[in-house]
Amino acid sequence: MNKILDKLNDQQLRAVKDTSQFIQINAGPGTGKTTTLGAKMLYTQVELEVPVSNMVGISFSRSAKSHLLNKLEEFTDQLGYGGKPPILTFHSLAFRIIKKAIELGDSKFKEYIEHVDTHDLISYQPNLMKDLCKEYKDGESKKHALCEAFNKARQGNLLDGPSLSWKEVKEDEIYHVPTYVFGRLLVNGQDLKEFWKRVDKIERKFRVTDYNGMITEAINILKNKGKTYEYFTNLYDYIFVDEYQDTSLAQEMLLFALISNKQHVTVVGDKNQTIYSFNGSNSYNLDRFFQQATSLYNTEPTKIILNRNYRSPQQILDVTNSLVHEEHYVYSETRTLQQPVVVETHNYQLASHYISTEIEKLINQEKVTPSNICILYRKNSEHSPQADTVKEHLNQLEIEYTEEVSNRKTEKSLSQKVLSLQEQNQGEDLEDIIETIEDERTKQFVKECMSDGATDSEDLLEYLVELEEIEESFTPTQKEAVHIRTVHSAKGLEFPYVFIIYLGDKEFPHSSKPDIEEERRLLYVGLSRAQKQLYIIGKKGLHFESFLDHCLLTDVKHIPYHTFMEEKFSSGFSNKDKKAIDRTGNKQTSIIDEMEDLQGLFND
Amino acid sequence: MQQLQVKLTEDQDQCVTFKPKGDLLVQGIPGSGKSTILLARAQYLMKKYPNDKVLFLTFNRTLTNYIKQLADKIGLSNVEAKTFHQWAKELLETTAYPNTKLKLGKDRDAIIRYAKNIVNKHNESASFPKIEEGKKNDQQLIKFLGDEIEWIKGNGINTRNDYLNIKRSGRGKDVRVTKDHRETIYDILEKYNELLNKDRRHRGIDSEDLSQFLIERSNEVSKKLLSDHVLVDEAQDFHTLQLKAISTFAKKSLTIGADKGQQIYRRSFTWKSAGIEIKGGRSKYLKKTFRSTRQIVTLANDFQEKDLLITSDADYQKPAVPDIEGKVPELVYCDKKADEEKAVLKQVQKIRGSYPEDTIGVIATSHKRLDEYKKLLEEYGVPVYKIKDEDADIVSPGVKLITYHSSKGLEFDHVLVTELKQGKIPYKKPTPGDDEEEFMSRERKKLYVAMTRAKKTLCLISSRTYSSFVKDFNEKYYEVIT
Repeated sequence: MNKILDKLNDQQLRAVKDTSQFIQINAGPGTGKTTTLGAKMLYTQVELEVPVSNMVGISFSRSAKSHLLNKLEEFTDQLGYGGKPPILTFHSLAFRIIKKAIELGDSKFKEYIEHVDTHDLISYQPNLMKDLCKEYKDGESKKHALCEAFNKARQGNLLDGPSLSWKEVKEDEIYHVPTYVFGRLLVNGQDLKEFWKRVDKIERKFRVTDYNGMITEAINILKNKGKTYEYFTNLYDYIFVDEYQDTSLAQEMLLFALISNKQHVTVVGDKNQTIYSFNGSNSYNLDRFFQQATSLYNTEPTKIILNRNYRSPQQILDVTNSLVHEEHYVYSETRTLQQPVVVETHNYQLASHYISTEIEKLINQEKVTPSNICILYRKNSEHSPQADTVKEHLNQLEIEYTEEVSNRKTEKSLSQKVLSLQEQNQGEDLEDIIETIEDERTKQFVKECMSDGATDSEDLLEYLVELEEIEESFTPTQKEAVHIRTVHSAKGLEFPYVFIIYLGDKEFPHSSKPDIEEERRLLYVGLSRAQKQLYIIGKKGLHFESFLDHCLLTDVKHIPYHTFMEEKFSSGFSNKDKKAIDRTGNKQTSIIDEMEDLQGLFND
Repeated sequence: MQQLQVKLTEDQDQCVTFKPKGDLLVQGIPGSGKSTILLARAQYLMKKYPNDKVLFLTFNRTLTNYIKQLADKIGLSNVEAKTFHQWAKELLETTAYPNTKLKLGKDRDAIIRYAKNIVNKHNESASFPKIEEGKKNDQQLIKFLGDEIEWIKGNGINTRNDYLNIKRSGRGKDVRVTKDHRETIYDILEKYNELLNKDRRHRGIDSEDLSQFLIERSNEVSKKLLSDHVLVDEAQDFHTLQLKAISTFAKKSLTIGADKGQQIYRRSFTWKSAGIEIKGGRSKYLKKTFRSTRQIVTLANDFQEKDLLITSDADYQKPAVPDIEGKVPELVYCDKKADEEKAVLKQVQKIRGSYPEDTIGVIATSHKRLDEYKKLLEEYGVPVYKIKDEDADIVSPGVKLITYHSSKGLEFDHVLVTELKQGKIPYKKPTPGDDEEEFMSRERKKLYVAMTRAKKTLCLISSRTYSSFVKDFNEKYYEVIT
């Protein structure tokens, strides 16, 4: 074990060795969060002698989960001993709870349930929306309004915290639901209540629910404090939650429903990296954990801060730190000779032109490996004009880049394939069927499940749940090429060279009514991916906070980039004309002076 | 760099020191410093009432950006600037009105076309006014219907009978509208409203309803969202109903800057009908031009006065000529389109050669033409900004490309007015239902507005067939260059 502990710094070591019942680890970007969490899990096994089966790790997404599993594997390989505790996402945890509750007769469901998108519930009962949301005559608007309101209510950002039942909906209230496609929609409380009641019926009748429905049902089961609650509180002695800042209010409720006063809970997160608040999380998650644990169990959690950054040189951290309001600034012991670059430009074409020529230079002159370069953009919808323009310019210079795979769709088709595999081979051992699988992605997925502890085809269902997480999954490519991806999807990753586009009103911060704090955190996540050199590209903000100006306040290299090539000047006006124009110029004063003159008039 | 006038006249002095009670109207000719007065007033209000919210409203985004850039320059970063539609939509979204997706311009045309087609299909007696034959006949008809629907809704006509019996003024003589036509137009209006209300694809709100519903639901709007002081720039571009909505929601004071001489849209209103009370002495007319030079203003005024419709308007005031001397405006004649581009490049390079820190405005009638200039100038390494597409910085150095319409309210050190060509400016012909004389007046105002954007130099570029306006430039006031 010392082999691993010796490599940790004092902060990390403290986090690993602390045996308080509740621990909150605040870990900034690049501070070795995964390493610390992995080491702590191993330490719990080896030194505290807790069997892995009595531990559970909860991760925000599949990619974060695989990071953690890889780290654990690396450690156990080094040590030659130690096992991997189950690592779940909140959804697969909820699935487990419901499954157990069905077995123990604790759930409203009587047998195996299917999970679908909220929108698809309508296919089970075409009359689901009948006479509801009468303001909207078209089905699509109705559906969006009701489903959005329903999801928000359960996630915890429509009413006062997450609602577990239609009984909590206020009938005389009118709820405003912002949607991307339909703009702001309205749902009145009465309709939402009725919709929820009808969904309840469908759920029972067709044994189906949606993702938020699973979380809600799991909370309801645990809150009854029946056999299922007993089972899980006895099973999980040690609970570790990763990326706690992105936990929705409903997921937080699930966590607290799962713990009793004897379990140990460690949460790890960074409030400055909260970027999923549209999904019901907010930047106060970590603070709330502290308060909740304190008030419920009278034990103040131990707070440990990791702020020594191993990823980026100090110059880059100076830029990222400038975006953070308070609390832990990360710092680094390495410095570099290069200043981060801030490129001020005025359109995508110029931005892309700068990026592509700079990347060409990096690859050809400085011999940088293309996959060490990543271009991050703020995605605004399915279609991203910024990324498209960059790709065009890269194409022109014949620089290869990785195409992102349309995430949700691939995951969906994969999940269907796995589902049919499960149906065809009910109860079979995975060992027996693995070789018969033809589709490579499916095979890979089943293998991952097996290495994760799945044994028979039934177990696949639980992993399927994880496929539907909201994160933008990415497909790792082996190709030696420049990465282009969204800032959201880059969370947890690092690259030596990072280009970030496109700062400015409506772009980054995004939308005409941006949530500035969330956008600031998103930029923080993006900038803190850089290990060696950082390029920030965009224009100044006018109506909203100017992130570009913000970055310019630190020690950076400011490059104005307003033309594609050097300007060819002519000799200018004749002397006579120039004299006349100069005379005009001298007589005209600047607006600043003028306003100053005006101020004298206001003395009442 | 940004340069305006130094000293205030007595007129301006009185305006800005007005106590913020009631409404204040600042009228003035181009360059009389309306925007400056409004900014100064904003500065005064913010100093005096540090906790109050101050908001600028304009008709287009470009002007909103410009105001914000100027405000930043003088350290007023807390001033908000929004377009009317953006502001109104945000407020309406807080009410219980279900449809808040804006349907303007092309989106609105599509709804009108759809409504027209349905009426035409289901109603055998449907009859449409005869629009002059031409290739774009349907487009012309849609434009006509759009104008008519705007007029009906804008004037608060909401029964069929009222429409059938009202005397329709302000329309040209080229389109004859019979009672049967009116019946059909009203059918289309009803269908159009229904689509806005219910249709999956077209559900939303148009500009007229936006103002109307906002006023009707004013008690539903949270007071917390409202600004204490509202300043409206280029108010002559707004409709009565829009100004009424603005005056409904200004909590403490309303200041309005306007110039009828720059009215380039088809609008008619009186301040009173907009619910704006301008009591004695609260209206100020600024006659002095500060922005420009004696040479430029003289040429522009002389040109404007060639139109009797403009000078005979009761509100018309002959602008004074500034005492700042400068270079005589230039006129370039070109044979071909390509020559015009060369002339633009040559003039831009000349200005950049002497004054690389100055702003240069290049004005054309269409975005297509501006894109052509952009391509050419980029090849010579000139920093070029397309104002509209890029929400560009107007006050920083470089070439700013802009249409005649959007140039209003802006100013540049050097201006190139291009496409002085028959069929471009003045445009080919008025839209159906428009009055020929009024149309020519508006086209003239458009050119006048473009010319008066210049602070230091003005270059007019004309290509064949030369615009009929060119002969209205007095030869005494410009020089032809080649």
